[in-house]
Amino acid sequence: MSETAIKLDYKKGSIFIDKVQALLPDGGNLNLCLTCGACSSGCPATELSNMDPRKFLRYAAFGMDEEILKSDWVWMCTMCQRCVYVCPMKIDIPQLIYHARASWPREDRPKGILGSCDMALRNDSCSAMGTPPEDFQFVVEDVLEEYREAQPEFKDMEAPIDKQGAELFINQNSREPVTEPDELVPLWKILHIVGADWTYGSKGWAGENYCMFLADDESWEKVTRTTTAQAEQLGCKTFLNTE
Amino acid sequence: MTKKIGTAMVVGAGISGIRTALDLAETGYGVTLIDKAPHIGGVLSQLDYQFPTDHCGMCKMLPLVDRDASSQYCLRKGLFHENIDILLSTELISVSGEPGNFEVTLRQKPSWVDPKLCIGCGACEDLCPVEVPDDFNKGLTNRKAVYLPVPHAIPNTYVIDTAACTRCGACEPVCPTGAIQLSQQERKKFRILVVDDELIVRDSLKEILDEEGYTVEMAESGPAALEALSRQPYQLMLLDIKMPGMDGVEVLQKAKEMNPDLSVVMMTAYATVETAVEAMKIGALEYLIKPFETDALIPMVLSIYEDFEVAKARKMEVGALALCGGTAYFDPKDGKNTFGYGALPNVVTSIEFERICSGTGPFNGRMVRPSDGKPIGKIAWIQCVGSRDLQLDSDYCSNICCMYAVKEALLAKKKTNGEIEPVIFYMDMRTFGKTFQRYRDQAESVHGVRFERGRIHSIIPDQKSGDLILLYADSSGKRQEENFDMVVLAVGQRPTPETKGLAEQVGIELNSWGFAQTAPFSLTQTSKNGIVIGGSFSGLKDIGESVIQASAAAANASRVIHSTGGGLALQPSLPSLNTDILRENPKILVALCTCGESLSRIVENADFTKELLRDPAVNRVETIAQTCTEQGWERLKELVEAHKPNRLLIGACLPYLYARKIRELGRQVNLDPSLMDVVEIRPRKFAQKTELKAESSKLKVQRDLSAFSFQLSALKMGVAKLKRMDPSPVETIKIQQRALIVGGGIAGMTAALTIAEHGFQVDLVELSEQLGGNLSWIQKTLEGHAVQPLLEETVQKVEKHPLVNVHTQSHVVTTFGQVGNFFTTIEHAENGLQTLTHGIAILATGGTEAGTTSYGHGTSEAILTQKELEGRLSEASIDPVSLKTVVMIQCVDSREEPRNYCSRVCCGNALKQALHLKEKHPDIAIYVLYRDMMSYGFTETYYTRARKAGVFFIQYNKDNKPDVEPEGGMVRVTVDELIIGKKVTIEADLVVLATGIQPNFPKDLADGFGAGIDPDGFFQEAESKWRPVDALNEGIFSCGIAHSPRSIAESIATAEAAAQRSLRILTKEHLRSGKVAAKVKHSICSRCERCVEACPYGARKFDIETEKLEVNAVRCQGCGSCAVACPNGASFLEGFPDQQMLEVIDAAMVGT
Repeated sequence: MSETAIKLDYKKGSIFIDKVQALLPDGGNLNLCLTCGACSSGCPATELSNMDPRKFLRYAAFGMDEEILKSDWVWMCTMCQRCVYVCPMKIDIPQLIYHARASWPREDRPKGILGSCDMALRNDSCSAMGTPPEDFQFVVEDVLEEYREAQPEFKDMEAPIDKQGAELFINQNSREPVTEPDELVPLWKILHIVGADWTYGSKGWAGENYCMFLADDESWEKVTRTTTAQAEQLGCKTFLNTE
Repeated sequence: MTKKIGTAMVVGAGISGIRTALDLAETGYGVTLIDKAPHIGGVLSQLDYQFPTDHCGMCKMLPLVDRDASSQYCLRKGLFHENIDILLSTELISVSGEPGNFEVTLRQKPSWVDPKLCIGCGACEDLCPVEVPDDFNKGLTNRKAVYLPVPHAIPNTYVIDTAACTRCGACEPVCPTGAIQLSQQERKKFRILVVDDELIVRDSLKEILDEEGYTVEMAESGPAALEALSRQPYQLMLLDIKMPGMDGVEVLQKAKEMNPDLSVVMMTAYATVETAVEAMKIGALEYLIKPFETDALIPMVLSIYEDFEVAKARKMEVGALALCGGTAYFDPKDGKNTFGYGALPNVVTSIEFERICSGTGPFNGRMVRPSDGKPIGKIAWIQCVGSRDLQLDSDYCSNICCMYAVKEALLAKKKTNGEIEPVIFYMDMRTFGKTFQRYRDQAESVHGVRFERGRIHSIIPDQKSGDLILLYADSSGKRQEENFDMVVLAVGQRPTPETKGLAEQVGIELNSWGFAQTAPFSLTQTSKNGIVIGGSFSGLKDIGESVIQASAAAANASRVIHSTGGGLALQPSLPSLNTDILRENPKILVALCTCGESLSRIVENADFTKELLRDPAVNRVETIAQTCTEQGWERLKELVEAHKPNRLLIGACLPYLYARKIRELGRQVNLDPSLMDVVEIRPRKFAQKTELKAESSKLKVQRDLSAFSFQLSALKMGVAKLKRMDPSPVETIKIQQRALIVGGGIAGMTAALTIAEHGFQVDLVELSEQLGGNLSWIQKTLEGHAVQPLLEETVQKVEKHPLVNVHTQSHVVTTFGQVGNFFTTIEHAENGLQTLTHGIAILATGGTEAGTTSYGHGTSEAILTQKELEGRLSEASIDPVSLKTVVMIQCVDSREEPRNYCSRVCCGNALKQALHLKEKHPDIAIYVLYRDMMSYGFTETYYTRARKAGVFFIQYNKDNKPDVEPEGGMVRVTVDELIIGKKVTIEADLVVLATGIQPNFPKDLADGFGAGIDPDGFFQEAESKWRPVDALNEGIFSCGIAHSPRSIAESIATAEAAAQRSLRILTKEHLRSGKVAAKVKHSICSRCERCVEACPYGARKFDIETEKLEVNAVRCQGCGSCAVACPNGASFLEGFPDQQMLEVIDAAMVGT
């Protein structure tokens, strides 16, 4: 225990956790913690930066906003939701963390995530790697042709882009077309064998959304709207998010 | 029995059902005790060891007075009481009528094994080809389709699992007594007549319905059908409408004239549907349109069959019903987080672990893990699985899991000489019962059980070793990883699958989680008068609480029966003493059962008879074909009436079956039941089988004995015992049918009213000027019920009741006497002394909030106790709106020596006060500093509500208490916040201390009544679990907070329980001792008084006036300790005198 005692001085409504509660259904149950530690025992980020989910929530509850809003631990959370999955009180810790992220000045947020989000905003691909639509189209067509030739049993396989009226709209993490194009093919093969009627979109084809992880709501929305608008425009019935 | 007897039904024969039934039966009611299961005992039949003694003790529930009315052997094995009818495999179907006059309908599951004939030999089991998981061992072992539901029941008869049985018939021919009757299963008794002129229709219907197990016959025309109906009864007729000659409608009319109860289903083509509808008007039940699918036919026939079964169901009238249906347990597989249960064999539930500990369990009690039989080294308990979890809709605590986990950990330790390393992962250790905290502390400090506060996220299996890896975060947030051999999930409660249906059927309410809801301030009364709840049906509770509540349920059931005129019965008239018998020589009739013919070769052998007749006490030897059948018993009665023996010895199997019958026979032929005995003789096959199963060398010797001398010596032992049985009647004591109750709080008043409402005088002695006790300062309960109306109503009832004599400003000066006859002198502040006579006494002297000087109490206006805050709030001298910050400190001077017990009400009180303050002033900051929140049972939901309302809860440890410093008008509280790992300070306007309950149980009062006091000054129960409101000294009871810390409703339950225990005694004019009781030969008594010390029941004393050692025949339980302690044989046990025992031993040696 540190020697200097912290003064608890609760003022309802003024602290960070109260604001987050006001935004969440049932207040995200943020008040209900039994301090059982199930969250912390399952969290991959426990102990990093001397923080864990239980402690984080505790600081928030006591109104010690300084501790949580300044902690870089919020960026170590993977948003995997293992904590809320087992929480007996169903406390939405990830949302609390999300809002803590959102409180950071945009420019101070981690460079990697920030950069990826900015890349996605560059063009209509919404790719964190900044890949333009025509590059994606080229890679898909090129790989498809290669496999059709090399593997005659897949000579009829398709990987359509912007196929009007397809049943499924499928998105794709940018890493495959950019760095591991061969990794695109297994999914195509499955879709081919089951006879799925599907398509990629030339806009919003990239599945990843770093703007969400950045807690940049506006950009997150922009990216999401771009891809859903494309699916709607093509008249697809089902949006299949592969991320 | 001359007076009309009230009757009650108890649904559920677990611990609480047995307690309720026994209490009512001992009070003189006729009780029907039913259970869905084929055995009694409920979940307790699976649990061998109970906390805190870590063994059983269930037999302590058996009657202590008039012992001979009941069985006196292990209660886990079975129960017999002359006023209790036990119906197993039986369910309650419906209830109608009024309190005092309910009509209930019961359905008994048809049994393919006749329990009257089954001798438990197991020949069927050996041959049965079907194996299914054994639910008794929670699926850790397999059993056959024909099986013993519990391994230890007496009589232990086989049952058939009708769902698993393939009806192959292999068992039927091997049964030596013909007890198995598969071919006459119930459906076969349902006879169907198919009437149709088309052969193909008849044939196909017969085939389908035959397959379903019904008896089907056919008729090709109307006249043929009527002829068939006149020959034999049928339950159902499937009748074609369009037939040449006599058509279906005409057949229907005539058939209904012959048998109005016959169910008829018309079969019709679409064109004649209207005719079918017409047919229904004249009595057809249903119609089927041809052509029909089997899918339509089978359910229709089944539903008619089931109605037929229900119609066969037993109907009976009872005055009141006690629902003791128990509880079910959470299945971890139903959870989002299963902890690997079901997939990892070394993850078991707590009940499975109890079976692993049991000698009759899957590993014969060895502490090994299921996956590979490896001895268990490290083992973890995970608490709150299925409890305190909003994701599982269980915003409640299951009450018992903390303590059973500690018990199981200690048991595992004990069974392995301390080798096992147990760790308990918990959120709050809920040690809220009387001795629980010390038990838990000792588990940790003496026995090395480790307690880790925290919840496990998940369990990772180590595939190679089978070990289980547990990850947890310690309180500082450090991640720990630990390997275990086994994990036990402490599973919480769920309502039983039947609860909802039963509640709807009888019309009682359920709480939000589906458990029975009881009325405010009552743990037993429901929304429906005359229907009461016992035990865990209203939520899981431990044995002690279940037993208290069961007795309370009996009291409330009895109240209804009594008030509606059901009346209490007089004790059964005893056979008037045949005085000649005292002078007569023994004249024994030996009646031997030939068990069909299996024993004929032996018992009908002339040498055998001759051997028995060698003893001059044996007057006749007769044989009976099957004593267990009605005809057999009639034959026995004829023999007794014809030969008029003065003692009767029966040789038959399953002697326990005859306990009740013998008492009946005794009444009919005027022979004391103690002069009749049943000795076990068994068919050879059975005898061999059990011997082969057992491995003891003694039995091996027996195996070599010829059947002849084996059976003979058993009978000769019986003869020796009977011959020396003293025929004089058992002693009785006339009793004072009045009660004395000391203490006029809610408990004392409730007990007084309960007894007075049964028509007995009560003297209620209260020290202060007014009745009411602690209720006078409490405004409302945690649940929000107003307390003052309850107090006013109760005081009024007490003061107005003609049978309650209230003595305020009075106290007990002296008392002497014994159960049935006490003489107590009380002193009134002004009016002086008065002596009261009474048969029982209830000590309800209450308690108070403990005072304290801790945390600066008394030095500042801002530091109050909970009671002081309650007072300030009700007199409005504190305005919640003026408060900014409040700190509440729990466990002040509590749960540590010298007051090392939980007062159980303070956490609830803190929640109540915190919620009240938050309601009046939502912006107030409230910090509750606690060690373990004891919001047990359904009060957990208020803990959740308080957190939801924004109350902060900070845990502290016993060895690191908060620091409280008054400063100006404020108080600064500093505490180590364990989660963030920092000291925090709070500037509070108010600090509220939870100091707990201190009993007010004067030592001289306790001593006067021979009641014990526990180390903390509370009443000492005779046995905390099995006799929770009785003193060891029979006739003395306690209730309310003198007994133990309790809420109002819980105090009332103890009061009702104490009243019920008293009524067992007060309803009798005379108390009877048991036949087996200690006596003294005064001529050789040296008055050394060793026997007085040896007697565990305080039944002996040296009478100074007569200079003799007196035995109180009613208190004496016939244990024989005195006879052992006596140096010169002056003390002896009636029923086991030396001469008798020596002759029995001689007889046992016959043929060796």
